[in-house]
Amino acid sequence: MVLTCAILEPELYHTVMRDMLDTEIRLTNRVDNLPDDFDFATQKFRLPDVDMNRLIFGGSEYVKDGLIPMTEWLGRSPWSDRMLGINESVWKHAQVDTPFGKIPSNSHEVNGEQLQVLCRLYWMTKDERYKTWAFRLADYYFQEHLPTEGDYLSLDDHGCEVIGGLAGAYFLAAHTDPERKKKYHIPIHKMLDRILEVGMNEDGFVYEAVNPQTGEIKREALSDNWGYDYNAFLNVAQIDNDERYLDAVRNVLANTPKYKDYKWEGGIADGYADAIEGGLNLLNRLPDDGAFEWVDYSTEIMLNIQRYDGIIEGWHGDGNYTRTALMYALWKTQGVYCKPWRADLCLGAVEKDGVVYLAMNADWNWSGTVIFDIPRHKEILNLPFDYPRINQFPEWFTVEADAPYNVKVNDGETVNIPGRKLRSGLPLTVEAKKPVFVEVWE
Amino acid sequence: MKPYSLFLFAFCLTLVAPALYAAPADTLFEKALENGAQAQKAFQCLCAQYAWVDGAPGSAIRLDSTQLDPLSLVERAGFSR
Repeated sequence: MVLTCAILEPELYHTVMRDMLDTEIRLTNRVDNLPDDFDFATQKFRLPDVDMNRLIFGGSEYVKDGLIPMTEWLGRSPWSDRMLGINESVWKHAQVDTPFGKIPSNSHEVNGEQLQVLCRLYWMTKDERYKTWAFRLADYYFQEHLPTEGDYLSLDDHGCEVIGGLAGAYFLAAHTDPERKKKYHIPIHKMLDRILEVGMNEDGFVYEAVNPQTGEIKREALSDNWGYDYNAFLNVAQIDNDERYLDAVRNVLANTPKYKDYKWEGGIADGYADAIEGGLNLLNRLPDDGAFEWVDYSTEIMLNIQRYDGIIEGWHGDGNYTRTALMYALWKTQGVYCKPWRADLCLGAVEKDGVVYLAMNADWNWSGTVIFDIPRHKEILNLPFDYPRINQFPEWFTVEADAPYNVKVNDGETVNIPGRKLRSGLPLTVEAKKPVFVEVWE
Repeated sequence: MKPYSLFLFAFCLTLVAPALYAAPADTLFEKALENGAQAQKAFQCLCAQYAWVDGAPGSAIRLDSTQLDPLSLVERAGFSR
């Protein structure tokens, strides 16, 4: 909701959304910054007891599924402050003893989320504690609890978090600690190789769960989180220049058209959202025409699940629908959005050979600005490379602040405009039903 | 070449040339418009999703956020736990 408002309804973003965050903090903090369910009917917490596992799980979910994606798009904001606060409390109350130090949980989900979050927070803030905690978790898994050495591995929602999380830690080690990267090299390849062997069908789609020891398929349905798992393969492929993993990603993308009518997660919006998001994030790095068509086809199905009153399915998974719908729309506009947005506005873009071709139409006269995306991985997260990671917003056409850009509107003269002006908004006027065409290149 | 052949050739060229010379940009702009329609649908769905939030355009359910705790909007909109 916050992201939708930030892009489509800035006034709500600056007012109601802020009020909502303040209220959420005021009402739900239960132990330090760890939130818990609050019941409006009774004006009390839903459950009387304080269960630290529940609080750590809830806090970690909120941070990784909600606040991190918001920060990927918004940058530093009151929501990123909330994220930092919750994560402090997650680690303050970490209770599980390991030879490497205390960690917040035994579960692949919480620890996987934390790996993903901590790796990003380190780059964003350069606070050494985040790196220490990320490596503590990675040491725990790589040295003693490799996920593929247990007898049950979920590659689906929840369990898949640790696969991508460990790849994030491998990326962090590769860029900050070469000795540690060497130590992680064998176990991470061992883990990914075993998933390739027993975790997927011949088309590369992963099963919901397997026994990695015996190869027995424990849950035969195909996971809607396949793209999230493949983030790890692509990440490691890029770090180690490993063609096998790259081929595995290409293979699954090439096979997506065979699964056009697959009912992800039984056909609910959340299932389509995860499958589409995962695919789109990979396609951002490895384009495949057939897979792009699969994204269009699947998104049409997902969008049509919405009820007449606007609600999707009436549970927290509706936020997932939102995140994916935004990602889809931003792919279709190459990251460009307009201000003010109106429901009759049609804004789309295509990028070819470094030129973005932007088309805009409206049912009624419109005057405003079109705002171009920035290299967020670099400017918001300070990442040395835009590594594939869960719940990021893929970057399509991004504009550097100090670079000059050529801009041509319709048949007008080409003008030279500094990137920072495109980032703050290129003024445009559209007459009703007379499309405006804009070319932009560096 | 006989004059009528030359004429025919020129006539055909007139028909074909625009297609040959159709700037690739035109095709790309057409695709951009198509993408725009798809983005528009996604944005409209997103806007409708939160139409019950006070002040959102197209709001079917107008709620006065000054009278309500914003979080309770979630419950009033019919969300289950």
